[in-house]
Amino acid sequence: MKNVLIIEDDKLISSLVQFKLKKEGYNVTMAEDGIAGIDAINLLQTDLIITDVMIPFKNGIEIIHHAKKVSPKVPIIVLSSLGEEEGTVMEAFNLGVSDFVPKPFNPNELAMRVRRLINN
Amino acid sequence: MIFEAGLRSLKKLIFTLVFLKLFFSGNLVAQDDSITVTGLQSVLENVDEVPGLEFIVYFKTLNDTTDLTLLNLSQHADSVNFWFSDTILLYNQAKELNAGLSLLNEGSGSINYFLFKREVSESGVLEYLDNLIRNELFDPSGIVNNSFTNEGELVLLGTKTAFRPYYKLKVKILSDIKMLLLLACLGMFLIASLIMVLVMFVIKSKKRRKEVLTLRFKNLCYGPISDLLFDDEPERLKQLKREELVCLFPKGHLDIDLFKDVMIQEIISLNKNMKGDFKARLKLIYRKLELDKHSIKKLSFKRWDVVTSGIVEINEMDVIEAVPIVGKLTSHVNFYIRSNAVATMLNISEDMTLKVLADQRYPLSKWQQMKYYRIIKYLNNKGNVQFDLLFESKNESVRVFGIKLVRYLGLVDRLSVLRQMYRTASINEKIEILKCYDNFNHLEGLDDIHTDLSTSDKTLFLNVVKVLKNLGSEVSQIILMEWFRKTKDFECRLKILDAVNSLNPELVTLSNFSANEEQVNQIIAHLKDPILNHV
Repeated sequence: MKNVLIIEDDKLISSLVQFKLKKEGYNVTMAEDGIAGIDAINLLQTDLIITDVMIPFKNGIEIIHHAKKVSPKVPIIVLSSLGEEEGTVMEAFNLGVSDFVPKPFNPNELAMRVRRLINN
Repeated sequence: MIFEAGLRSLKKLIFTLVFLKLFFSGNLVAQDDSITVTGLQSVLENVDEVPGLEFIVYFKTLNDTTDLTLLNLSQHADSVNFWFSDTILLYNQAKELNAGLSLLNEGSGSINYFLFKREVSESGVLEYLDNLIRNELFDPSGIVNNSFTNEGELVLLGTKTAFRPYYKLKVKILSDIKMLLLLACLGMFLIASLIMVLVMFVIKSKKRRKEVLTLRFKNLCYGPISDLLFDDEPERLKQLKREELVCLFPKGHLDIDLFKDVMIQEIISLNKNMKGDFKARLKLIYRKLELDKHSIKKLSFKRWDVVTSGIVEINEMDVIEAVPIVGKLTSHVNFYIRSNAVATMLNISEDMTLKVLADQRYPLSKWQQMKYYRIIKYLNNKGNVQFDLLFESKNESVRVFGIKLVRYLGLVDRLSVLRQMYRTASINEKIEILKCYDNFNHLEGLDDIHTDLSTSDKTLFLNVVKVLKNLGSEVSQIILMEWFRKTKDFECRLKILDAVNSLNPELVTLSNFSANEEQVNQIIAHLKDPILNHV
């Protein structure tokens, strides 16, 4: 079973994504803030990371930077509001994120992107 | 309003007068207790020993050979004529010694006062006694005649004299109205602070309990909402009855108002973050769980924040059946209720005439205008919004907002309506219409603009000049130069010359300004300077 890590401070969104991905057959771990996210990246064997940009303690860019250093081959999806962090999203792409899903989003579409990246 | 303000001022005046009266009466009473300089000696003659007060008799003889050592007097080291006694505790003894010395010897004597071994004047002694009396440490009326000779008389005298100072002090505190007032004030403050602490504690504990419950309820609703949203068969949700949906949630929770509030908040939050058919599913869940009824119920609450949250929920979840109730709140005195009610009506009522906005009696704030603009922009993209009612509104701020919308939404076809409005428009409307003309390069309104150069309103004048700078014709140049000669205001002259220079730079150069007009030369130098003319 493939492992997916979700780093998102909005518990409702992360719960919904977790629910959807579990239904799709993935093992999902959730982290509510940046520090918990980095700990999870260090400790767990992750096949894909879904992260928000604006999260407490560490921002998404720091997490992406760390994830790329620890496990450069793990694909990362940025799940965030477009517009408010346009520059940050560009920076994230420069760091090597695999995909960007803007909010509001369709969970089915997100699940499809996860499947595509993990299968690749 | 004016009456209330007057009443407040009168209350303040009465309070000040009462305070001053109390203050001055206190001062007078304090002075009544004092003793006079002339009464000092008689007081000292009739009292026993005064704590801290001693006397020394000085005697200056006329004859150098006089010897007063037999009378226990000491001779001064520097002067053979000057003699002084030991310290004496009773004034009467000092007085007797002084009288005896004067009787038996040639010379002059005096009684000198010492307070705690330091020589002081009579006024110093008076002040000291005054303090003692005021602080109840010394009672001049309780005169003890120390001429008694035996112990029996002293005991007799002691039994007759009540112990007064402490008793009097106690009574005086209780009967002193100012002291009682002070104690009452302090007591009231104490009680008020205790009540406040108690109220704060209750509010804080209630808030904390609510936070804990909210968190618990949030955790409880994640599962059922996820189940319903990601059901494999979307049609099944439509067929589900409320009872079947309620079974997914913990028993009895959907009867708790706080749980319903949490559910609505979570559904609205998801509605903002999701797209596609999930939005429709969320609205269906909201309706099936009869949360719309809870939102409508909130509109009848007295608390403005509850009513506002109800309106926002109705707006977010498109509860169209609540339109008549929300419509009644569009003229509410509370700003937030009114603003959200109008926004909701614009959003969900599907009334393209914008009547709800045109009927607004209160002036529109910039925040409201921004909020309504976003909704009207969305409506305008969807269908054919009619703006005419806005221009006909009795509310000036609504008419101004309508004119702004012409500019923001690029409604070029409405410029003819604005031109018709212009002559009878207010200053603010004219300024907005001028901005529209400027924005769309609308030359048809030039005649009206020229007329308004004669306005007494400086802001309008400057706006007219600004528009003429971009749209002005040859006629405009001549009229502007005429106004330049008429006006003396520096800012107006600067803007006129700037406009003329923009329309026809040669006209500024060729114009025959009188040589002594230094101000004009400065403006022209400024306009012709390649760097400064951009400043």
